[in-house]
Amino acid sequence: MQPMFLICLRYCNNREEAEDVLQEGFMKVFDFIHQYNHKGPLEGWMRQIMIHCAFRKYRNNRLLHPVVDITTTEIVGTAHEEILSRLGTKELISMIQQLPPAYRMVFNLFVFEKMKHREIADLLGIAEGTSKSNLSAARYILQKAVTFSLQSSKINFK
Amino acid sequence: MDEQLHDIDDLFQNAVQRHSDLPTESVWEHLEKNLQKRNVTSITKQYKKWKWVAAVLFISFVSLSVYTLQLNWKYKKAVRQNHLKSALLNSRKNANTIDNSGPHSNPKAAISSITGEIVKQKNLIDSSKEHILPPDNKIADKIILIDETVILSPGIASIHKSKKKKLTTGLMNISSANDITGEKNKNNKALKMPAAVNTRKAMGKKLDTDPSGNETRAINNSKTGSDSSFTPGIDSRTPAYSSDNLVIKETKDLKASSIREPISSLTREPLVIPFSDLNPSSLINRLIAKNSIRLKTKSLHPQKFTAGIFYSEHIVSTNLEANRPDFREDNYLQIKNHEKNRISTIVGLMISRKISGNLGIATGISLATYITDITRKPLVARKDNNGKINYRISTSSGYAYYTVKTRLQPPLADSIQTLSSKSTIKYISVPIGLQYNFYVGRFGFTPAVLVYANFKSTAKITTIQSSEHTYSGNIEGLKSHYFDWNMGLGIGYYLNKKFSIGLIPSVRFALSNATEKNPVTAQRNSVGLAAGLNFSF
Repeated sequence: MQPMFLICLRYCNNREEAEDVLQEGFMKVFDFIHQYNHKGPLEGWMRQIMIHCAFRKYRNNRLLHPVVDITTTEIVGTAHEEILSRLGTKELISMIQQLPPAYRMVFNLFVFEKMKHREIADLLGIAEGTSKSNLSAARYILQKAVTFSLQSSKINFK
Repeated sequence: MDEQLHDIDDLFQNAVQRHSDLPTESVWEHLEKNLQKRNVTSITKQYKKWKWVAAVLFISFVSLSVYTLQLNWKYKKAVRQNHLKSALLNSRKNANTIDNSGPHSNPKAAISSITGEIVKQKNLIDSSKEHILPPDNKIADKIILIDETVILSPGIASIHKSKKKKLTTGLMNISSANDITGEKNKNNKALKMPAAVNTRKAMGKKLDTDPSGNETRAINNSKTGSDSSFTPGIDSRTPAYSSDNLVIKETKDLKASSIREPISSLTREPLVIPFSDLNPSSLINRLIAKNSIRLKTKSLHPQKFTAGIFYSEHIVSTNLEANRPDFREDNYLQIKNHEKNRISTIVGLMISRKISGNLGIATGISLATYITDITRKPLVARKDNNGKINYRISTSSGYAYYTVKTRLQPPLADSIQTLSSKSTIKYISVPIGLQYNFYVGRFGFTPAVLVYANFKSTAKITTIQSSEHTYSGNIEGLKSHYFDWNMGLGIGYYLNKKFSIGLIPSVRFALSNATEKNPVTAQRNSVGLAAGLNFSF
């Protein structure tokens, strides 16, 4: 349960959305459990379902989130005195969640799912160059976010 | 920290691996509720198929019931006739049984039974307005039984010839032999039977009689042994028979005017039939058969050709299956969830012709309109058949491309959101099939099975992106034609011999897919009700 929820957290904007995706994912697991062929670990199969559900959520919502031009990203500083000494995992995940959806998807697929740009491009229906570009932009934003977090500020893209 | 930032990927991988978090309890509650709801929904879906089966069975049941009613109506008289026949046979048995012990009483009982049934039959037919025999009290007096001898009066035929020259039958009243021989019958004055001795030899032969008809002979009934006196006034050519050989006499070539004459004066050349060949029940059969002919000729309905116009509304259900989803938006469940069929309308002209008995062949032409509402969904930019990138909408009926004029050519996989869409498909259909017609009173029932060949006429999708932007495109991926079959029961009410109005509940099932080269295959089924006006000629 916990690993699945982490996946959802990574792919979603916030905790509530992650819970929705988790719920939808488990519904699919129960509905299609008969299709599990026991060839691989059950966790891997469930993981794929969760990612698929997150994709669906992304497709439905992505039009509402314009791609952010990183040169114009406005970083609003937020005081986090404690994060200056140590970056918590929660804060880092929150940074991922605050990425623009397209960047977040590419970053997650590339970093955590170990997919190649070609596969990501096929999966998302985008060009391979776009995938690379998105990944690069995601990394840049995250670097900035971590830096600013360490400098007692919080990134906000909204 | 700065070093970690050089490998931001590892930093986040490590962070995620170390992170632990659990969803709230509400997730499990919602999950449990949804699972229960899904179970209910899946059960409902399972029974959805049975709804169709139930509809088919219901129509079959109604058809069968109406058919049975029609048969009962049609053969009502035959059934009554069978009852009559069995009653007569029983009476005859009783007569034969008692005959051995007592004279005259048993034949009288048998004949009385016949008389009663015939009069019943006459009353029944008289009571029907549509199948009326002209009321004629005189008919009842035209069968006279003289001492176990039945004489059919010629007056019956001449009565009807003189009226409308249509019906040459009549219903007759039978008097028993004792009524005539023992007492004077009012309608058959002075009817007396001459004596007959050797009945089998004498059968069919004329007896020697006095030309003046005044000669009197004694009647010798060989079985009963009773004697009767010969009374003046009876036709001298009338033969006499024993109870073993009851004879029916029929006269011919009589004029209408002869009705008023005494029956004795009308009898000329009698047709002699042995009782063994024509028992009393056969007599009834013949009378009823003649009346049946009369009934058929007066029927309201039977016409060879029928043409009718109709308007029909159908509730449409589309069965979707994944075929070849090229893109992510082609998922058939997603397509299905976004669509809702409106009630379809069908207008048309049907022509039918009787080919054998009640069986007929039907054909015609109709125009069917199917409209499907599509809720808000994204349109994704894809390459169209010409290699240009346009926004594509996928539906159960097919797909269409829109060129959005306010934008430059969109990038591949770009998408826009729509407010709503509507697909409109029109088919020109040519049905052909068999139907069975039967009638109950003024009502006509026509169960029919038809196969429809549906030819695409118009197919387009209109999409509203905003209040200012509406796009329309032709549907691709739709077959130019498909087949389905229809089963229905036409219920018509005949206003007169030419016109009838009717209702036709029916179900239509697809025989082939309506789509091809489409992400989903669609089979269109429907159940509906038609109303129409028919003209028979």
